[in-house]
Amino acid sequence: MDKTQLAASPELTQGLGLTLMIGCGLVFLVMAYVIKSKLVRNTHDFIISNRRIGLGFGVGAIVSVWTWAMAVMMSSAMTFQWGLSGLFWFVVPNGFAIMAVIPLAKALRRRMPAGYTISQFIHNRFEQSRVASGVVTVTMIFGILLEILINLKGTAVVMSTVFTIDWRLATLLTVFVVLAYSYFGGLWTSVMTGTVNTWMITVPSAIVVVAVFGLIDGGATTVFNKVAEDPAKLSVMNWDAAAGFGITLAFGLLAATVADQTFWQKVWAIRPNQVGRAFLWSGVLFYPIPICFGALGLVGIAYGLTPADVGGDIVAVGPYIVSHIGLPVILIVAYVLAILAACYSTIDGASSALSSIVAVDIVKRYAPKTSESKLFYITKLSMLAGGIVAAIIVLSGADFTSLVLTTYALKTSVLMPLVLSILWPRTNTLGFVGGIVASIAIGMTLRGLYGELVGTISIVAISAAVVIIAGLASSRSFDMGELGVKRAINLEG
Amino acid sequence: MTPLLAVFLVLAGLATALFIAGYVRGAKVALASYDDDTVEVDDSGDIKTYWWAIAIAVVGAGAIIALEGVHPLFIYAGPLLALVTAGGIGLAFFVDEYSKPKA
Repeated sequence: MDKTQLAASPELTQGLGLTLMIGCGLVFLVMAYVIKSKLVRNTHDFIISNRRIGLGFGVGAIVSVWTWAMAVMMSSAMTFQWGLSGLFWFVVPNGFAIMAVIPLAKALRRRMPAGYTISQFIHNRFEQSRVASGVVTVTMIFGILLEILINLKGTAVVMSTVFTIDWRLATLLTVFVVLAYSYFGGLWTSVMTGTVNTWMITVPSAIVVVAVFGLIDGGATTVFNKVAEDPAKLSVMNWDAAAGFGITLAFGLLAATVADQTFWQKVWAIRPNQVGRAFLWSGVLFYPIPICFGALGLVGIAYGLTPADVGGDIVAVGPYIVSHIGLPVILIVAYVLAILAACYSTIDGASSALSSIVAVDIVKRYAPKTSESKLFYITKLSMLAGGIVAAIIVLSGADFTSLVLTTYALKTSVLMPLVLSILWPRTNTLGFVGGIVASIAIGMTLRGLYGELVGTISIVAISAAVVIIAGLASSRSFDMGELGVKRAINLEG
Repeated sequence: MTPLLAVFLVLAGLATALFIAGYVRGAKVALASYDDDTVEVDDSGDIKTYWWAIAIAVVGAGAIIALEGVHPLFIYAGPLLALVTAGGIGLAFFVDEYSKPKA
């Protein structure tokens, strides 16, 4: 196996790439129009699907929003960089993060059956505290923006690597396409197109990966033997991968699900008798996706590729192999569609979550008399606004490290206070807000001094400790029966 | 086309058929029940114990990755299980016994 054998397929024109992006969007646009005309009557349907999502669409939607375009490529990249240890530390916490939502989701759905957002829960849980709910609302909005940004970036990487499309054009087109179809049907569109996207991610990827190995003399055995020249690459016991990114990623992923409205929106939209089952099935059925894509990282190692060979960024290793190993164009197209599906579904899921936050936590909280018709348009326009802001940040070429850091700090610091506020009745407002503030102030300082691992563990530990100390210091215990939203909030003005 | 790829194409066809059958059923259920405005609170049909299932899933995923480093055949486990995911989602529409289409 020699990397000089790898060459770009000449049939991968920019026109083909653009056709794929637009064609995919047009199909979803037709679906969205049908969904809108059949299933969406008002804002309630738009943001929560009238709480009628069953197990199938629930699982399809959760898997699709959790399968980020970047994650699909990162599984190949982490395997390429660390060997199987990289794949292990990337994959195992990923699926667990979805399933870790189950106890919280079941508890909250039972106590607050007509809820919409996690920020709304915090508002009711902490005596209408605008500070507590405001912190959570801001955290959710930052998280959603970041989800959109990262997926836009992921799509730009794939389209520029495979089709040499200008990354700015790929970014603009992605935003335009996704927002066009998400605008129509809200959450119903998101779950129904997302489920289709899950098929587009899984079936083509399986065939493409097997076809890649089929093009190598000796198939998997040859790749295995080549990678085995460095035995550490075939072991999952390499501590460097855990310390390098694995442990930090594990905490980050937990925060990414538990402290993310994209998932809480599903918790309140899925029928109550399927909530736990949907998250369990989603975690289990998610696992094969990154494992499958990870095999491309082994091929990269076997060919002796270097980061420079794939354009400097190792996330491009998967797209590079698929577009340079000599696959028929139809299979390269299938791979690109899988990445586009991952990107589109995450962005539309995030946009849909944003619409629920704007409707419930901003408009209805601060302008409760807003009429239904006005609310419906504001909700829809908020999705456009989120996408446009994300696109501007990406297109400006600005380094969004500060946004990543802020979101990381907020989400990690909110994780334990949020969990405790759901499970521990003695959690109080002072502990909740104090835990978040103290953990960011001290934890981020420690992160700067001692690195990501120490910083992450500090933030989680400090936020939990402050909540527990404040809870023990007070004799008050919150009656979860008082959440006060057993009746749906009035979204009709 | 290698024999293995041919086998995977057949399996992909089966997984797709199950997926489509489930999806169509799910869409029919959604159309039949989308305007039922009752706030459901009964979660008695949901799973009650799940920690063991989570543990098995986590250990299983880790074991499959570890086995890829033991024998090259296990490299194909990822693609095979990805097809199981597609079929599994189709199956989920049928397992959802509480959302059968209205007669």
